[in-house]
Order: sequence, then C-alpha cells, then structure tokens
Amino acid sequence: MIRYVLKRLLLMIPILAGVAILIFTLMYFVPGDPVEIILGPAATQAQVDTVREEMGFNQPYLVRLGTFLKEILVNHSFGNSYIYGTSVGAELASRFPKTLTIAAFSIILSTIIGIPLGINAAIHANKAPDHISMFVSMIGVSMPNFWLALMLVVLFALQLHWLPSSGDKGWNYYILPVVANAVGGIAGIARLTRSSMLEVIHADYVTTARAKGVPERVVIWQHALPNALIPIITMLGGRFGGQLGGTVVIEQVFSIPGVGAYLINAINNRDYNAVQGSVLYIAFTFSVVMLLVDLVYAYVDPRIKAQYEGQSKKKRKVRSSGKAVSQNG
Amino acid sequence: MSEHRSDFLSVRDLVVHYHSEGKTVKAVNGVSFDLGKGETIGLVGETGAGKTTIAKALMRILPVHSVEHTEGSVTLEGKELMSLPEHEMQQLRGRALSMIFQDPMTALNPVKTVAEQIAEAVRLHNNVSRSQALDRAKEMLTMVGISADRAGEYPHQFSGGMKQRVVIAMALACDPQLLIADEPTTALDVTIQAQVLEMINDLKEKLSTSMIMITHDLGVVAETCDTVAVTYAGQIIEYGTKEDIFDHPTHPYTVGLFNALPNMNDNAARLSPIDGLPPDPTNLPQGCAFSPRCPYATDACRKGVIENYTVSGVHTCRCIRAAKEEV
Amino acid sequence: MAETSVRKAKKIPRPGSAKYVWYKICRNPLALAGVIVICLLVILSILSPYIMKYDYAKIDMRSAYQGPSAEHWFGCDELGRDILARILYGARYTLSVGVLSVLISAGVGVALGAVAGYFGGAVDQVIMRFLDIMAAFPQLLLAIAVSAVLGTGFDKCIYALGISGIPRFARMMRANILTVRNQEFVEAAMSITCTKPRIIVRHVIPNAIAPLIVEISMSIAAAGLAASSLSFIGLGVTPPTPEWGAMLASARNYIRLYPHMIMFPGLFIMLSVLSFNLIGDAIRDALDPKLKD
Repeated sequence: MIRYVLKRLLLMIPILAGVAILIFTLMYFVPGDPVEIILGPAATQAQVDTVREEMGFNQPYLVRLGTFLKEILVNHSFGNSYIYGTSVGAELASRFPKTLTIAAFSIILSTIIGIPLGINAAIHANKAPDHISMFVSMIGVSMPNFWLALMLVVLFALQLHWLPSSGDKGWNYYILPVVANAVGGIAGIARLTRSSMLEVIHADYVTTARAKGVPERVVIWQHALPNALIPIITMLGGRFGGQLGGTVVIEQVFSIPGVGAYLINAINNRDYNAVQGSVLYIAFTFSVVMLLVDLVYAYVDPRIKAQYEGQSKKKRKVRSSGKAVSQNG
Repeated sequence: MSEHRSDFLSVRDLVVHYHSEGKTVKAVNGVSFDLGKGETIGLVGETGAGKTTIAKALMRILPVHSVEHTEGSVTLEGKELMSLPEHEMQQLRGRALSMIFQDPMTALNPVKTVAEQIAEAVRLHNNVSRSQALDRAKEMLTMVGISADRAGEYPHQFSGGMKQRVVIAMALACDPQLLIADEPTTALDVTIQAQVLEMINDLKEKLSTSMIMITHDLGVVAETCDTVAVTYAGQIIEYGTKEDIFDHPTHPYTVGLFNALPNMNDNAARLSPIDGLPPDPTNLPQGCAFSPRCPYATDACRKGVIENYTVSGVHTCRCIRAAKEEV
Repeated sequence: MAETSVRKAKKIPRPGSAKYVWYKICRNPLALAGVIVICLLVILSILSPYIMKYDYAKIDMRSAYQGPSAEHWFGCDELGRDILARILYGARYTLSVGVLSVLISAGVGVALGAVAGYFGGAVDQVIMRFLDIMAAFPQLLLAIAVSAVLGTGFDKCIYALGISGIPRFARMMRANILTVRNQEFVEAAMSITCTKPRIIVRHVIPNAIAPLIVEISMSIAAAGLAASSLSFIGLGVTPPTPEWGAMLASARNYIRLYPHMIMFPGLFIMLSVLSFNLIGDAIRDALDPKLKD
C-alpha cells in the first residue's frame, strides 16, 4: 500500500508540472504588455524598458518558464503582484483557508445530506416520494449557485436579518456561502447515490445478506452502500473541484476575501502573476483531493487495492457490481 | 415417507405474483408440499418455472418493489411464517432456515472478507463475541474444505467452486434446520459440481438438516433427494418419492424431461426434446399450462382447472390422464 | 416473440434508435415539458423584437427600478429597460452558449479520444497526459483561466467553455472505444473476417455513440450554468448584452432595494437548465437501459 501511495505521489509530479507549464503558457499569450500594466499608462519608454529588463520580460519564453518553475520549486514563490507589488504567495496563503473552508464545508454538507437522501430515494424507487425528491433535486442541480446565494441574501440577510450578507468576520458569515454552494452538491450526490444504490440494491449479495437474517438497515448501509460508494466517491472528488470553482463565484457574492475574489480581481486588473498563482493554488488543491480520492478507492474496494498491490493480476474485472437478481425460476 | 401434513415444514397454496412493466407475472400459482425432518425434497423444472421464487417466498426475501401479491401458508415447526412480524422472521433467517444461492460469483459481498461474511450470520444469531464468531467462521471454512488461513481474503481471491463452498459455509454456519439450495451447482464446472454435491450431502447428514434442493438437473435429484416435486409454470405438476418419479413418471412433462436426457443404454441417435417454450407467466394458457406443448392435450385440458390426482401412495400428478389411469 | 408482436401492435420503435428516444421523451411528462420550455424560449427569443411592447435595449429612466406591474410584468432594471423583454431576447445567448460550447467540447473531445483509443501507444500516451493536465483544473476554473486569456464576449465565452469541456468527452470516447473494442461481438465480427475499418464503422462507433449523446445532453445543462457563472463574475458575456448571468451581475448592485431585478433572470437560468437536465435524463433512460430499474 505504501508503495502505491508513493507511486501515486510520483505520478502527480508531472501532472502538477504540466499544470504549471500550461497556465504559464496561457498567461504568456495574453495580449497586452505586462510592463504597461505595472507602470500604468503614464510611464515613459525608458521606464518601461528598465522594468522590462529588471523583471526579465525581454527573455525568451523558455527562459521565463524556467525562472517561473524555479521560483515555485526553490523559493515557493509565485512572484509579486503587478498591481500591488506584494508577494502573490503570501497573499494566497492568507486567503486560501477561507476558500478551503467554504469548499470543504460545502462538500461535507453535500455528503451528509445527499447520501442519505439518495439511499432513501433508492429504497423507495419509483414511488411518489422518490419521484418528488428526484425532481426537487433536479431543480437543485439546475440552480446557479450565485443566484441561490443572492436569493438567500435577500431572504436571510436583508429581510429576516438573521445572517450577515457579506464579509467574513465570524463563523456565521460562512453559513450562507456554504449553503448556497452546497445545494447543487446535495442534489447531485443524492441523484448519483440513488442510481448507484439501485445498481447494487438488487444484487445477489444483498439478498444473501437478507437471507442471513441481517436487519434491513444494516443490509442497506453495510452491505449495499459500500458497493455503491465507488462512483459516489469519484463524484465527490469531482464535486470538490466544482465546489472550489463555485467558491470563486460565491466569494464574489459575499465579498469574502478568498482566493476566488483575488483571482477575479486579478483578472480584471490584468494582474497575471496573481492570476497564475491563484489558478495554480486551486488546481494543486484539486489534484491533491483527487489523489486522496484514489487512495480512498483502495480503502473502499479490496479489488482495487489488490490491483494496486499487484497480487491477483488475473482479475481484470474491477467493477463488477453484480448482476440484477433474476426474479423467477 | 412423509405424512399428509408434516409437522416440520408445510407449504400450502403458495401464490406469488410480480408486476413488471404494467403486467402481472404469475410466478407461483398455488404450490403445496411437505417436508419431514432430515428429508430432502427436489424442486425440479425449467428456468422460469418459479422455483427460485418459491424459495425466496419461504425465506420472505422476495424483491419488495416488484411483488404484487403473495398468499398461502408456510409453517415451519408449527410456526406460520407468512404472517410473522418482519423482525421475528429476520431472526429465523439464517438460523432456522437458510439459503444457498445460485450464482456463487455474485452471492458474496465483494468488499467484505469471507470470514466476516460468515461471522456476521453467527453473530446475528448467537450471543458471541466478534473473535468467537470469526473462530466459528474459520471452523466452517475448514469444514467445507477451505484452509482457515484464507479467512481474511476477499471473494475475488477465490475461484467459483471455492466461492460456492464459502456460500455453503455461510448458509450452514448457524446449523439451520432447513437449508434451501437454489441450483447450488449450476454455475460450477462439472468436476466441481460433484464435489460440492457430495459435500452438501455429507454436511446435511452430519447436521441432520432438511433440505429443499432446487435444480433442473435430474442427476442432482437422483443423488440428493428423497421426494421430488416437478414444477411447471408456478405449479407442482407431479409429486412423489424419488422412486415414484424416476420409475413411474406420469405427467407428460415429467416424461418429457426424462426423454430429453441422454441415455447410455439407449441407441437412439437423437434426444427427444420437449417441443415449444415454457408459457409466458404474464399470459398463462387456460386450463393445463402444459397443454400447448403436450402431445396428448385434448379440449378438456385447455379449459377448466386441472385437479391434482393421486397416482399411488404419495405420488400425485396434475394431469387428467392420471385421473383416467386412476379409474 | 410475444414481445415483438406487442411492440408492433403499439408501434414502439426499436430501442436505441432516434425514434425510440423521442418515443421515451414523449412518454415522460417532465422531459416533454423540458422540450416545450426550450422550444418556447427559442421561439419567443426569436420573435421577441416583434411581439414585445418594449425594446430590450430601450432606456427609459422614468421607469427605472420599477417593480413588476401589468405594464412591465417582470419590472424594469436600473436604466428602465423592460426585464421581460431583456430576458426573452437574452435567451438566445444563454441557450446558444450552452449548446455551441458543448458541440465544441464534444467535437474536439471525441476526435482526440477516438484517435487516442484507436491508435493507442505513444499517441494515446501524449493525448491522455495532456488531457490529464487539463482535467487537473476544476472545469469552471479552466474556463475562467481561458477567459482571462481570450477576454470577454459571446464568442470567447463559447470557446472558453468549449475548451474546458474537452477532457471529459475525450476520456469518455476513449474509454468507450476501448471497451467496445474488447467486447465479444467485436471478436465475433473479427472471427468472420470483418475488416478493421468495417468493424470500427459498423460496430465500434454505433456502440460508443449512445453514451456520447447522453453525455452531450447532460453537458448542455452544465454548460449553460457555467456560462451564466462566467458572465456573472464579469467574464464571458458582459453587460449591456442581456445574457442572463450578465443581467444578474449588474442587478446585484441593487439587491438591497430592488430584488426583483435578481429574481427573474435567475429563474430563467434555472428553468432552462432544468429543462435541459430533464431532457438529458430522459435521453439517458432511453439509451442506457442499464440505469433503468
């Protein structure tokens, strides 16, 4: 298992490097001269030339890419903001916890509400409560999170005055952002849990468990659910990425000074060092989460673990979720 | 052989209807049989004849979402199972009656070790600690011929035959009084089939368990059963001791089953299969369900209810020809 | 045999065919409602300049901030423009960004995935590693980053979203090609000496197309949502274009006093995304029998 973790970590390195190169390249091709952005329109040609020389903007692409990567690796630095002159890395480090808080709590909320909802719908599949909850969750999936956020602000902050509408001066400032960001997740996870459970709920081994005299609740939660988890976990990983992206938008609504707000601000100011840094920060976080997801797979499904450990090579069938029980004969 | 109403297991007028895509599937239509302690009854018939449904109805593990209607009476040691509250039924499952499933490849939970799966049943029905239950599980594994040090392995690490042994160990872990074996050998290689059958027979004798053997294989019946119930379209169309059925098959369907078997002593170049297909359970024919395929079918067969006629002793047959013979 | 006769009697199309998909949608009231909503939106959007009393861009400061009334059903915005007229006219942006960006993602993604899956080896490695890198970004973030480079505008919004959706389609197509290639019926086709191109055309592609259509139909809804998010944060389509997300972006500043300006554009985003989702669901049910209960 340790060998597998190491292997996965090593595999992450080229991906992260690729991410850094890709984002650097994207920013490299942005039209417009960064030096003009740094100095403003009033600068003289001489000033522009000096700064260009100083910051290495006159160097060829590869040299600049090398410097960029070296800075990240050696000094853990994303350079300085063009506009404010402050260290992008330090700024991001202070803002990141806020973004992570929103994204993490959203995903936790999505999971602890979405999975039971989905299981319940699966148990009562094709009956009225199932149809209703699936339709409601479809609405949840279809709602733009920023719009929901705005509507929540209108109701809970402006009308009822229960919660603050913007800022981050305490834990209660995070309630609306987390809820707004989580609704789509709850709905999506509920829907996936339902379909995933439906695939296993009629599997033979679930019937076997019943035949042993296992109580129905245990049958569902301990026999069926673990087998339905793989796609759910995959989705949770992807959702977490979605929540990170969603947080970028949500931070705008609630004026929360997180990475997303910084990123949007940087884009609007054409502060490309800051854009690079913010995007990398989020992409790195996402990669780490996806790595964790892969590790959780192995924990959840012994067949996957066995594959990683390279034991039973003869079993290529990793995801045999079991055929539906034949009902007759 | 068994008396008219056994005090061990007695099934009376069992009916199970499913609904599927807006249609009613008449899977089991009035099945009655008895089973004495330590005896084995074979439920024989083609795929789709309702054998597995009978078994699941006895266990009360029919898929809830698709069952439309069940009725009838099942008594086990005098206790009526059909009206038992679910939690009491749950305590009987696995302990009083347990089941071996058809397909060992899918009957085991892929994310639990085999020992865990056996031990779970033990813990549910006996007041034992986790480690005692695991010890019992290892004991059971050894009994079915699997080394105890494989106890911590997962189902995917076992071959099909080994998995079926695990399933059997699981079914027998709590010394059930009644074991329902649903085609326990169908999914296995022929060489392993014999081993598994022999093992089931041994264990059954050792533990004096009664058994319902569901199969379409008359060879299996010959090896394991005391009495035989031939099922067709959700009904028992012929019932008797193994000797009755093998020596004097009476129902044309039963006769057809035997004729479809290759016979070493016979020089016939071809087998004689039964013509036609089993009836559509959503649209059963009037009268005798076998009449569309029956070479002897008359107009009388195609209307009205066909009675169950006694051929001799316990041997009964649901065919008007049997009635004529009786006269 | 009994089944086919029933099928003939009721004229049920063959499963998997386009007709069958349509048949399933018609039998699913929610999906049918989705189709109707989308069609209505498209028609109303096209006709809106002719049927609406107010021009979507007509500024009338006297009616600025007006709430909903008989005159202005959804009220007016900060410049006194009729919100209903803007929403109906703006439907063309949100809907077409959704559809067009998915077509780009699907077109490029399918080509990449098919090439990777078909050739395998080094080509596969290069393509897939590059896609891994793209997929290391959360999709909305990738769209934001691409937008930052391309700038704002309707067409650029489509490109940004289109690019960000490529990896999903490519991976799906590749996986499908690999699975189909290894299935027994392909082996069976080979055993009767079907030629390789023939196998690809006759067997591999038709079998990979159903999941593709399902994915496209589900992606349109997500792309519509992403488009409105992009516009909302000031990328994508920008005001004064009446794209719904962009309308929300400018309405946001008046949230305290005039929440009606926020309510209606958002409702329409939700309604259209919901419709696409319902249609997508029905298509998936029709094409992916495995998921049916």
